[in-house]
This record gives sequence, structure tokens and C-alpha cells, in this order.
Amino acid sequence: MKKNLLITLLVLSIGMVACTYDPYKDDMVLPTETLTLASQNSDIVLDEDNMTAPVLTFTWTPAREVSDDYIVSYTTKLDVVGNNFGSTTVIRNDEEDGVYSRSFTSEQINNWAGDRWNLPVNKPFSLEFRVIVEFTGGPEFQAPEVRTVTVNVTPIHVDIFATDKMYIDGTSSPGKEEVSATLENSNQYAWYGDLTPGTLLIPSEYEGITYYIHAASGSASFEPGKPIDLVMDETKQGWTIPSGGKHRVVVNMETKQAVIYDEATDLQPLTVDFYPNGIDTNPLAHVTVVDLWAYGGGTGWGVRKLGCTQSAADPQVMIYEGSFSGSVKFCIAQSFTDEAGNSYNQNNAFCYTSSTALVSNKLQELTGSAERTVRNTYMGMPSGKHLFIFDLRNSTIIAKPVQ
Amino acid sequence: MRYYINWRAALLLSSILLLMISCGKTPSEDDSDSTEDYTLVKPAFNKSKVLKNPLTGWVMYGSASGDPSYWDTSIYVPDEGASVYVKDYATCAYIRTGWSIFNPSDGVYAWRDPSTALYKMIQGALDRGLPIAFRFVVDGRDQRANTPRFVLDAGAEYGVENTKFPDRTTPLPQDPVFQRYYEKFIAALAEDFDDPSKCAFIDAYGLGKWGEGHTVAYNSTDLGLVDDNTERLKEEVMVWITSLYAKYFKHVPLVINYHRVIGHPTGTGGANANSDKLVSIAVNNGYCLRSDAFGMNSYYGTWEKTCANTYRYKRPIIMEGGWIVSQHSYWNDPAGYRQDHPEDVRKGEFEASREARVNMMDFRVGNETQSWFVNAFSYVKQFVTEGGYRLYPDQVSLPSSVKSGSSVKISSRWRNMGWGYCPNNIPQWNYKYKVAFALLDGTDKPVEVFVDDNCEPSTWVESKPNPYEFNVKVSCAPGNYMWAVAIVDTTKENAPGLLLAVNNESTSDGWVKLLDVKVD
Repeated sequence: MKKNLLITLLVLSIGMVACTYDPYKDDMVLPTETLTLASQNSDIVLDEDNMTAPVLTFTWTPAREVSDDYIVSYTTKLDVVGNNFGSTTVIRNDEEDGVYSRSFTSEQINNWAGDRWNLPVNKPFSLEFRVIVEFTGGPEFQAPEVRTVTVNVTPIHVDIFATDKMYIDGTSSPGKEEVSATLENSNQYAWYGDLTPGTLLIPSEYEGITYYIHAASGSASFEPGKPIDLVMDETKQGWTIPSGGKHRVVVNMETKQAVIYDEATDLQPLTVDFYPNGIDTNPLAHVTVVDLWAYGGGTGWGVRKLGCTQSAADPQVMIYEGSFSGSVKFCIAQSFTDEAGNSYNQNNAFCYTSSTALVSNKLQELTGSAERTVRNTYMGMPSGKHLFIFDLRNSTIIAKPVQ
Repeated sequence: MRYYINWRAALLLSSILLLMISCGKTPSEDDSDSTEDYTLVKPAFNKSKVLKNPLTGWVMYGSASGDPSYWDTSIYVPDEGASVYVKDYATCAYIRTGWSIFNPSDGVYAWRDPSTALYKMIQGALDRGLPIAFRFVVDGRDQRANTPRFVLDAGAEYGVENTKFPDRTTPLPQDPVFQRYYEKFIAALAEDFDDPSKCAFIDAYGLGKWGEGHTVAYNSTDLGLVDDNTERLKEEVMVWITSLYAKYFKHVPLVINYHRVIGHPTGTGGANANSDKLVSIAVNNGYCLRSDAFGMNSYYGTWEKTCANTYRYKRPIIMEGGWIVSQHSYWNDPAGYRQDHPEDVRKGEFEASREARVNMMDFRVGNETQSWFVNAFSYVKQFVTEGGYRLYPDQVSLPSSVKSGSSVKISSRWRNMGWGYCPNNIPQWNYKYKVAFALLDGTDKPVEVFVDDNCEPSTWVESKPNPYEFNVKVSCAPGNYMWAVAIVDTTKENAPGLLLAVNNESTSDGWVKLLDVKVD
């Protein structure tokens, strides 16, 4: 009897020991995760009238319960989709215990879009928000719980007036053609060519987005040759070209104005009527200025045809890149005839010069005449290679150093 | 000898043992005589609140400009979409300037004269709740006349590196005249500032170029001379100056730069063989550590990292970044910081600080502070959460009713969630901070305080749990009370001394409320 009792006691004891078997220690059983994450909205619009108010709120639920041995920490991360929560772009927050939401204001997101994420203005983007719950300090590893949601963001509209590339387009255009900045003014874009009746568009690409430059008034009509105040936005709007022919389109990004010239109003090259040698008993000579000839010590007393480029914005603006070794004058012709058919050379021609030496980067006046005193005046030139910009309409010159 | 097994007895014994194992519990040895139920209180850890505790957190630098409104500097933080005050993130202020500014003539001390710029800056910081810290620079090289003229006129030997700037003198620290006047100055300073409620720490070496502890001259005709006497002089001066500060500053922490050529006439090159010894002299005189080269990977190298490891959790480390982002070519650093990206430098400094387990980081004047807030604010917040020390009890077991005159057992478990440590072990603190429990009356006043001498905050590191049991005898009059906890300053009549990182309600005195308790 006693023996049976002892055996029973032993079996009972072994059975109780067996009851302490812990499947979590012996089998890999995945814990039941309880963390959920939600965004109040899947699409948001940043509110420029209420910058400091929360515009984006995420909420989550507690992760699974673990023993008191563990420290449970909630970390949240916000970043643009594609950045993969990189260290230089992520917005990280260590959330307080018992806090299950995180909000962001329009001002915060707007700041990060520009400063941290370097996103192009006015372009919608997507954000990822992630909650990471970690369990540390306990006796064994506990897998973290992680949830991520995505939100689409419409940024605050920014009025911009800048361009990386400008085009002319529309039904009046021969096709989409790039419009270049002029040599004389990097803020001025000009195009010259044929347009047909139809719509003229001026698309402007900036930071990867296509905008359209059009009249601030909203009108599609224009007065040829007259300045038009401009705006630039995503509205596909332009001008109606009523009749075909040569047109000159000049857009100034600095003054935010454009001028569209038709054939009747187009700018023409300078035509000079002068008496050769400045002697009014000589028959008049008529020269249309399409180039300039430099002459003087700066050319070794040889005649140099400059081969000037006429600006697309104004044919009376002429550009020459080069250098002079001394003083020169700029003649409007090398060989020409007067009304009577008498022949002359550059020494007899109308010329531009100044008794004041030209200094780099300084706009200076030119004197233009065929008078002897002018023809015998040679203008000092800055040393080194320069871009010489002659504005014959305003009788000025500026020399910009070329690296 | 033969052994016989009594199988019946063995079986019985085995069964009893197995039963005991299966029960898994040993009756507790409870010293308390309370018969009431205990409640386990779990204070919620607070991660983000700036805890204005000593020797932890951000240090706000200021100059002796005389415009105390500098301490009210606010900066627009893009991350927050709002402006914030720098002082709200700082635990103390720091002024580093020449000895001559503090002590322009013999017996004249600018910090005592309300008309001086220095006084206004110090008082301005104190008025804003920022205890002040100082470094006194004596070497004039690259700067100005840092040692007072009267000291030199009295015969202290000095040299001049650049004759174009004769005022930029370099006094010799071994000179007895220099030492005599320097001691007089430090003694006067200690009269007013050996008070931890006013003074956060003293950066107490200040020799060499910019007071950084390197490039210390011992020869007036050749300031960079290294000869047979150099090592002896270095050690003598180190013993003198650290003993001097320790003699006068008994309550305020002292700090010295750890630099591979500390006290040496040069400023660069490999580690000097005696640098370890010189640092240990300072530490043995009670000094804490700092480095002014965090984030400069050509200067803060293996020797500095080893030094930081050697004194980890023995002495706290104060960090200062080395690069001045508006002036230096930080993009040449081996870390590969990008030009025009000061945030890269801030990140490098933060990571080096984490590796060294620093207790304090820097808001230096000018663009340094600006870039912390504008370009790297996430690190400002992260250091608040993770840096220095951040103490809290994650569990406290308390009875909700007690018989007056009975004993209760309070179980508590403490963690330090910061990567640094609470330097309760430095001589100036001398373990003055202790865990204490209190019974608060209806007006939040403690009617009974129980100080637990066994809890030692300086041993709490790396977020690990530190459990304690504490038997106390409740002897207050019957009534309703509130259990509260604090880390008290035993030198201030056991008033709460360190702020705890919890979200629980606290009294205005700093007691953290835990549980209602009825005393019968």
C-alpha cells in the first residue's frame, strides 16, 4: 500500500513538472500582433491659410502585451515614398508611453518638402508613415511590430516665375521649339520665326513641372508690339495669333512682361543715313547695320569684321565675343557707296566710339557719327576676352568678361 | 565501505523535491508586518520633457557681451513649424572667456560688479533658471590679453608668440607669481560660485591655446619648446592646478579636457606617453571629463575614445563639437561631411557623443546653435530622450493602507534610460542623491520621508532594471495620505533633487505622486 502511494506521488510530481512545459520556449510560435495604424485621411491638401493647424493625423493601437521585464518603445517615422526612411530625410519621433497618435501641421510638411525632401514646388507627393514598436530588456527576443501607411499630399501652391526651359508651342507654332535666353540678358528669352493663325502657347519647364506663361489679364488677345503683363501657372493658356507671318516673341522673366511683334510691328535693324567723312557736300550714304567692323590700334590697324550676332529680341542689339589689344572704333561698314555711286572704306564711314575707355561690366554710352572728330576717336578696350554687347537702339555698350 | 540505498526514502525525498520544484515558489521572507494588499504602481516613462537636472543635457554657450537678452534667443525650427527658445532645451549656461575679464585688476572681480558685462550675463542666466558654468582662459595666443596685466606687471613670466600683438601674452603656468594670483582669483570665485544652485560646473584647467589644455607653454622665449624639463613641468602644473580647484570647489563639479597632448607644448601629433597619467591626476582630484573635438575625426581619435571608455560610468563626459561650420572647412574631415551641409557635422557630433556616452552636449554661440535647431533639430530632441541620464522608477509596490506604527516593505525598480549616467559618485556630489519615499498630506507636504540608502543612482546604466526592497516604519498620525517618490538631495534636508522622467503628477516641490494610502 505504502509502495503504491509512493509511486502515485512520483507520477503526480512528474506530471506537475511536465505541466510547467512552456511551448513558447520550445516551439517557435509567432506572437499575435495587435498593432494597427490608420491615417485620418488618405489624401490631404496643405492649407496655407491655416499653417499651424494639424493637417495630417495618424493613430495607432497598442502593440501586444508583454511582461514587465520588457521596455516597450514606440517610434514613428515619416518620409517621402521612395526615400526608404533614410537618415537624412526621415522625420523620427520617440513617442511617449500611452500616446497613440501623431499629427503634423501644414507648416511642418511644407518646410520639410522644401528643405529636407527637396521636392519640386507645386508637385503632389506621397508620404509614408511608419510605427515601430520594439520590446527590449526582456529575457528573450521579441519581434517588433511594424505598420506603415501612405498618404497623398497636395502641396501649397506657390506662385513662381522661373524657368529651366522655355518653349513655343500650340497650333500656331511650327512645332514645339525651345526658346533660348538671349546672350545679352539671361532673364530675357526670345524667338523669331513663322507663326500661323491659331493658338500660341509658351510652356515653361521648372523643376520637372510644366507651367504655361500667359497674360495676367487672362486675355488671349494682344496688341502686337506692346508689353503684356504675365503670370505662370499650370493653366494651359496662351494667345490667339490672328494672322500668319513672321513673329518675334520676347519674354522677360525679370519684368514678367512679354512683347509679341507681328510683321507690321516687328523691330528692324538700324539704318543710318550719313554723309561720308561727315562732309555734308558729299552725297548721302544709306547703310543697314547688320554687322560692325573694328579698327584701330586694338586691331593692329587692320580692319576686323566682327561677325556680330544679332539678338533674337532686337536686331539692333549686336553681340561680339573676342578681345582687343588696344583702342578701337566700330564702323558700320567696311566698304560702301553713296547715292552717287562713289566708293568708300571704313575710315569714311559712320562709326561708334567714345573718348572714355570701356571698363568691364559697366554700361557705357557710345557716340555714333561720321564726323571727323568721332572717326578719329578710339575707345580704350578692357584686356582679355569679353562679350561685347552693342545696343545701337540706345547707343550703349557693355563688355562682360568671358572665363 | 559499501553504500546501501534506501529506495523508499529516496523515492519519498525525490517526490517532495519535485513537488517543491513544481510549486515554483518559496514563501517570501517578508519583514513588513502590514497585512494589507500591495499595489504595483507603474509610472509612465516620459521621453521628451527637458529635465533640468545637473550634469546632463544641453549646455547653452554665451559670451561676456553684456547683453543678457542673448539667453532669450529664439530660433525658427522648420521641423516644428514654430520658433522655440534655446534656453528651454538647455540645462545650464556656459561662459568661456579670459581671466582678465573676470579679474581686471588685483582684488577686483567683475562678477561682483552689477555694472559689468560679465555680471549682467551671469545674472541674466541665473534669472532664467540656468546655472552658470565657466572656463577661464589665460593664454592670449590667437585671441586677446587673457591674463590680467597686473599679474604680468607683478613679475609673472610670459612670452609673446607674435610681436605684432604684444597684448596676446602667454604666461608660464609654473611661475610662482602667476600661481599666486591665480589662486587668489580662484579662491574669490569659489566664495561666490561653489554653490551647485548657481554653478553647473567649472571647466577647471583652462591652460594652453583657447584654454583647451593643449599647446601649453613652459618657456617664455620659445613657447613651443619641449626639453628635458617638459614632462616634469607638465605633471607639476597638473598637480598644482587640479589640487587648487579641488581645494576651493568642494560642491561644484570640476572638468578637464581629455586630449592626447594634454598639458603639452604642442597641439597636434600622436598621443603623449604621459597624457593618461595627467588625466588620471585630474580624475583623482575629482575631475569630470570633457573634449572640445567631438565630430573632428582627425583630432578625436583612438586615444580619446579609449580615455572615454576608461572612465565610462566613473566620470561623466561633457561634449563640445570641434568644427565651426561657418568658418572651418569641415568637408575635409575624414567623415566625409558634405560642404554646405552643417547637418552632416551635427550628425557626426551626435553619433560620436553617443559612442562616448556623454552626459552633456553643446549649443555653441552663432551658427552652431542655429544649425542644431534649423538643420538638425531631431538630434536635439533625440539627445533629450536618449542622452545623459534619465531616471525613473518603472515599478513601485506600495500598500494602500497601513497601520500607524507598522512596518511596510516598499519594492521599487529603477531604470536610467539615458546612455550616460547619474554622476552621484563624483566627490563634489559624494552620493548626495538618494531615492526617497514620502507620505504627502492633503497640501502635498511630506509628513514623513523615508530615504533608502541602498539605492545608488550612479550604478543605473543602459536601461537595465535595478530592483530594491526597502522596509520602512510608518509612524505618522492616522489619516489619508499620498505615497510619493523622489530622488532627494541629502544635503538639502532631503528635498527632491533630481527630476524624474515620468508622466505622473508631481508636487511643486518635485515629489512624484504614486498612490493614495490610508493610515489607520
